[in-house]
Amino acid sequence: MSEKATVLFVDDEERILRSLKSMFRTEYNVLTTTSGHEALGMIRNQRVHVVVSDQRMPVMLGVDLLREVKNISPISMRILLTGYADKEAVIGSINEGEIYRYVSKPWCADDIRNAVYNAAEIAKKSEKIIFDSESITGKELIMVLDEDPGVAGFISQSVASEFSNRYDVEWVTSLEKAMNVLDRKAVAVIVTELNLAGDDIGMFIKSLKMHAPDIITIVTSSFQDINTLVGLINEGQIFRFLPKPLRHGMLCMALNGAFRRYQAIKECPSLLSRHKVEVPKPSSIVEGTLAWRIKDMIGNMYRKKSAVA
Amino acid sequence: MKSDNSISTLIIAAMSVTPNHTINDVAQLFLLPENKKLLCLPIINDNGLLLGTLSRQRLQEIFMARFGRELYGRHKVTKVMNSTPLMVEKNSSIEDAAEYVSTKIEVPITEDFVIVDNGRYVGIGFVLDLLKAMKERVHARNNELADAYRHLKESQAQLIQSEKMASLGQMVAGVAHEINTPLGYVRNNVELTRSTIIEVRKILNVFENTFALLLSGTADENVLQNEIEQLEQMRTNFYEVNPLDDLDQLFDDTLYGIGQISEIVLGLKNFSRLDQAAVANININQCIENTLIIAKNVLKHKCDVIKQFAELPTISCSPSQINQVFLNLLTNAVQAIEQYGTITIATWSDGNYVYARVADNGKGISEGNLSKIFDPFFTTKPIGQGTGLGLSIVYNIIEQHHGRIKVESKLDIGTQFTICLPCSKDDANTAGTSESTTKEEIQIESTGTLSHIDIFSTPEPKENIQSESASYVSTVDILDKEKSESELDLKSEAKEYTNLLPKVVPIEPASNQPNVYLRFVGVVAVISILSGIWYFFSTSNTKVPELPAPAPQPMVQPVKMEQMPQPPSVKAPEPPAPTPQPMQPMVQPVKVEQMPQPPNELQSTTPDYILALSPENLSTRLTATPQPIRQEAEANLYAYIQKIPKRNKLVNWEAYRRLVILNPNKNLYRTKANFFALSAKKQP
Repeated sequence: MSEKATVLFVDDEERILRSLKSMFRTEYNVLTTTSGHEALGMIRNQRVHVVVSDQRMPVMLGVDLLREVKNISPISMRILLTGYADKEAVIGSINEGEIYRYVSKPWCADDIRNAVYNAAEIAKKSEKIIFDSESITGKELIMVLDEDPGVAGFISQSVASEFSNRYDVEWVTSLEKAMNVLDRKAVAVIVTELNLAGDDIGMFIKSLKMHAPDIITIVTSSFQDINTLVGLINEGQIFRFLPKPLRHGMLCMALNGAFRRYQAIKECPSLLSRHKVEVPKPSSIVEGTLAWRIKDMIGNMYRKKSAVA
Repeated sequence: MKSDNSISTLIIAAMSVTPNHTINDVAQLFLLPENKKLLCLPIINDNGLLLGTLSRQRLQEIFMARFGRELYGRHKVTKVMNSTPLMVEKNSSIEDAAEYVSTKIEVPITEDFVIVDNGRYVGIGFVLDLLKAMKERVHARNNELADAYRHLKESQAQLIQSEKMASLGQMVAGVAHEINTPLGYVRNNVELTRSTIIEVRKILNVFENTFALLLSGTADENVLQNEIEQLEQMRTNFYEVNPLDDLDQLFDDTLYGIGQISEIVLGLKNFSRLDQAAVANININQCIENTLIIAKNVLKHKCDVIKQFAELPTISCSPSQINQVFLNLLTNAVQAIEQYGTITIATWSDGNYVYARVADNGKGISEGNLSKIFDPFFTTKPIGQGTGLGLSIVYNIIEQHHGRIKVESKLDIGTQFTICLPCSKDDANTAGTSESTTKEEIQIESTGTLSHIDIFSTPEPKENIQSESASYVSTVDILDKEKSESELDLKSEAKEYTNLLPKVVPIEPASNQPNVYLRFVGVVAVISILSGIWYFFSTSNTKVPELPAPAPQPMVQPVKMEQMPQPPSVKAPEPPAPTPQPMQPMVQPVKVEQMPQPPNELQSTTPDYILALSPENLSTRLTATPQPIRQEAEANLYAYIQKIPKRNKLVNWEAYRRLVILNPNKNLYRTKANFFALSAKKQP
């Protein structure tokens, strides 16, 4: 380890800052502030590898701060550390903040240590990376996983009108069919519902990210449970969350961003590490359940694929 | 059910008479025992069609005439029969029949009605039976209404409970965040301390070894040297970081955090008072403090809270309910603040009552909404953010405590709620005065334009409330109730029903013939309907004291019903009636005997107001009214008259005779008034 990474903590409670500083000061160059504006000043003036922010602060909310951080210094990895966040905040942290981790207060020392450590390592490695490629992509494939034909139709129409059919859209209604497509074709972007025939397919999204991190995931659902969303950030690194009903503008922006990110990852594979996911906690997967089967199915499929390659 | 409602249940199969029968025949028939109850007999032709009826009354008239029997006795009945009897179709409903009969029947009642089937005679129906049937129906409907009311009350109670749960849920989320923050650093600090202790223990172990070697006295010098070097190395490493440096601070922070958590938990406990008596003697200041702890998370980044607490006597109340009042008021106050504002909480007491005021400098409540804010379900918040029950619950709680609540608001300036609670229960019970029962009314004062508004520079609450109430444009004082007289013995029942709610949304009776009740069943129906309405509108007749009287401010004069223009014996022709509704907000029912009236002067220049005053009253008031106001009233009324159709003589007359009073110098008014007075009297 050559140089200490710089970590910035932002919280309106000084005692939190003192505690975190005590914790990290030996291994990192630690900056702390209670003000969002001051934090942005620090980001502008020096290279900050990791920003850890509270959500509920006076003047500037955590999500707004992290969005600005992303604009000013895209290399800085962003972590939200909060005791309570509403749905809007969590969705905002995905869509606008593109955060790396969401950590709940009170936190477990090891959790935050790991999150900060991984984030710092990633940031140190990604000195020069392109985040959103401007080059035009080829004829890529979007897979839509949703039981509602209306959703698939809406996406097809949007792709046709906005991207003049630059992308193919493949609509599947079951996990089996989805696996089939993933096995046969190179999928660039998945637009997926969270509930499929009443089953939570969060595990599918998470396992897929672990084995095929280059596939960009857009989740669209009317189901908005904060804990589920947090899981999708930490273990699924989903690119966007679009609440249903879908809106044309938001969908097109998300797709556009997704393809630019997809292309950027192609050009600069080190970018992938920035979306490294946490391994889902073993306690959360019960043997014999759908989640368990999916985990194995996807694992096996990609092992076979890489063996063939 | 359907058959019960049909007139056919009332059929009396009375015998009929043919057109060929003579009057004498019919007189004989009336003497038969089976016809004793009949007022009239039907006359039908060979096809069974009803031709008419002949009543005992008619026969009497004939026979009572001189030589009546001899002259007319042998005439055919058709000569003297009533050829337009009351006919009711067999399948009509009781209500329809009642409506028909009651409008057509002649007084005194000399005939019953005939029930027919497409013109064919079926039987006779007694008016008295119809009356009984109607009475039963009204009674049944009344029960239905009472049932409906009960259901409504139950579901409202449920709604109130769920509102409580919803606001509790929001509060819990905030409190969770409030606890999680200290919990976050407390936990982290403990983990840090543990790792520091582990480090220290490692060094201590090495030290123990070295020390043991030293003590043994037989240790190899090289080994000892090694040990000491190792110790030295560890010591250097440790002091390089020196986690002990932070330790004192971390311990302080940890203890502080635990204190914070304890305070929040205590606040929750005090707020809910689950483990304490429901009713207790408590200082209101303490209630507010408890509530502020709970609401801290909501208030923290939105406003400064200024507390102006005076020494208060304890009052007997349900602290958890009073806490809820303050939580609701504080939540509303903070929601009214759009950016960052100030909430001022003041308390004071005059020995008999304890007062508390929550004032914000938020966006205020519009005049139109001000009168509705205590209504259940009224909300201006977006869907999902408010149930519209918060203030309605506040109202209830205060009312149950025999207190009063007052709201004053001005758009873009702020809103303040003032509550007043009696110091002891006795005061509350004896505070009331004379009136018997009550019909809730909301009073709105419009106190004209405001000159200077400085609501939050509040040195002394007591005086403050006076100057401020004058500076607000609108105030609503919902507990100033106009009590209406009623002899109905429904008080206790009604009170029981309505204790829970200030107002229950009235449901229309399912019936579409309420007028039938009124016309036909007279008193019975009126009482029954009244009692139905009573359930809906009556409220507890608890007496409440006045807030300490504000500085003299223009009081709206009461307008009594008997003072309304009552032209002699003529009924107002048709209804573009300018007769003002006595309940219109500006015509404020103020308890005359309680409030010494300020000098009589015009309180408004609107035509409605002027027309509502009796001419005598108007001229008395004019003596105390400045000239410009008089002129304004004159101009308004004159403009108003231009819109009244000329054919409404009476209204024109009423208007012009007031114009004469307003400006006696104008001959035009006098002429017109005389003209309309004459033509109004001629009009039937």
